[in-house]
Amino acid sequence: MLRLKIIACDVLNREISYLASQSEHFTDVTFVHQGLHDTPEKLNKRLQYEIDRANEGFPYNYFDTCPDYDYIIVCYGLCSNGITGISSRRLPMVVPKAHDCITLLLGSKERYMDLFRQQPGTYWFSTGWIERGWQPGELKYTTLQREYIQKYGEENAEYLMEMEQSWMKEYNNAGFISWSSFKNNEFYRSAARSAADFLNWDFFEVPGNPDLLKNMLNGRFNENEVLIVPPGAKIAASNDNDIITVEGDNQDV
Amino acid sequence: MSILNEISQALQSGKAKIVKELVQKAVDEGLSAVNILNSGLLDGMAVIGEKFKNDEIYVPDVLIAARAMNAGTEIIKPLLISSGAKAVGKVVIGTVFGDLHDIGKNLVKMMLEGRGLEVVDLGVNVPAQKFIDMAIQENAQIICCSTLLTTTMPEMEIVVNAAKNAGIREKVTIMIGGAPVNQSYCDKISADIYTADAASAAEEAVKACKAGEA
Repeated sequence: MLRLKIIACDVLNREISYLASQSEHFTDVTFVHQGLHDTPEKLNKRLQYEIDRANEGFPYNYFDTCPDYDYIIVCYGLCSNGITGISSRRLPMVVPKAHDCITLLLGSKERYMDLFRQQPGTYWFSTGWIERGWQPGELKYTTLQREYIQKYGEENAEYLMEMEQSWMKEYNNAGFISWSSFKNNEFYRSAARSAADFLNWDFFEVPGNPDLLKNMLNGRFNENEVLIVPPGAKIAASNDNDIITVEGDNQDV
Repeated sequence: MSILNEISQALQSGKAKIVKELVQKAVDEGLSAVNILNSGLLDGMAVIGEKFKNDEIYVPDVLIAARAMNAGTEIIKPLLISSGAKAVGKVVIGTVFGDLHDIGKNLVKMMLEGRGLEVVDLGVNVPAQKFIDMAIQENAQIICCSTLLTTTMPEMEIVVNAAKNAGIREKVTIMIGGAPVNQSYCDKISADIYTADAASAAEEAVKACKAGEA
């Protein structure tokens, strides 16, 4: 039985909690607050902190029988380059080859890229995005508007709301990723649908696929899916189809 | 408080209307347009830039300050032109193909205009070739590419290559920016300039144009 330390974004809380319970290995999960991709430097520091802690040793090490985790699994995509530069002192890290959590929810980077091309202008919804993030929609709009008026005055508020909405006007679709293992998809579906209605987006639903996360949490590390980062090495963006690499390996030939 | 100081303060609070009035007043009092720009408007914007860098203020504060700056520069623009100061240079700006986010791009645009650059805004989701075609058509010295997504970062390299293929690579400065972009990516794709924030982008753009003239 492998001892796996999993560091994951809270946006994947339900998916990872579910898969961790089904894993054939020991899993120890730390969830990190959702939204840090907006401030990649903070995300980076926070992940490095968690990785350093995991390197201190296995918490149930009786009489030095099992001093360490076997792997640290970093359940993050590149996430605005928030993971580049991080390294693990003594233990190997396993990191999915992904731009962001949408790949992890859809099951493969290839499927994400296909959908990214087929359905341009899609804003994605999932359990975590709905529960653990403030999604665009009527409530967010009216609340922000009120806050801006209070803080900056009517005229500036109008301008800020216009800026705030501008990218939303460019989006066309609300894509809801549903995992069949969950019992309350109707709730998430209707939340995504009502946001879509408010923003005049088309709604569509795609089934998620747990395989990528499932493989990782069961110690099945496939080269196409994950990068194994040896102790001391740093994660870097590869700027190609592999998405990530080990620093020093991404030089142009 | 001197009127230039008042302009700077009003700009920092994002009071566009007051900035406009104060700039007009300063003009009426005989202050030079260049002085108003540098010691009033850009001074205020520098403070905003610094506070933003230090996490003391957030994007909305920067947006309204930049908007106030633009309200002020509108007044002095004709004076700068009539005093013989021509536009510092011309920039073609856009968010790269596949990416629909434009707040950062709009902010950079406002900062560039504040520094006296002429800006052609191509909007979002701009195909690489369009940056090149427009740069040629507008005779622009600079192309600015923005992206928020790592998924669309490779588009920036396509822009660089398209400039090479069109034979304008030596003539045009390519600047890149956006949350996931950094200096090492800029080096890797052989773009010319990366900056971490909008104010430094404008500063570097001005330098690049001046260097081009020399």
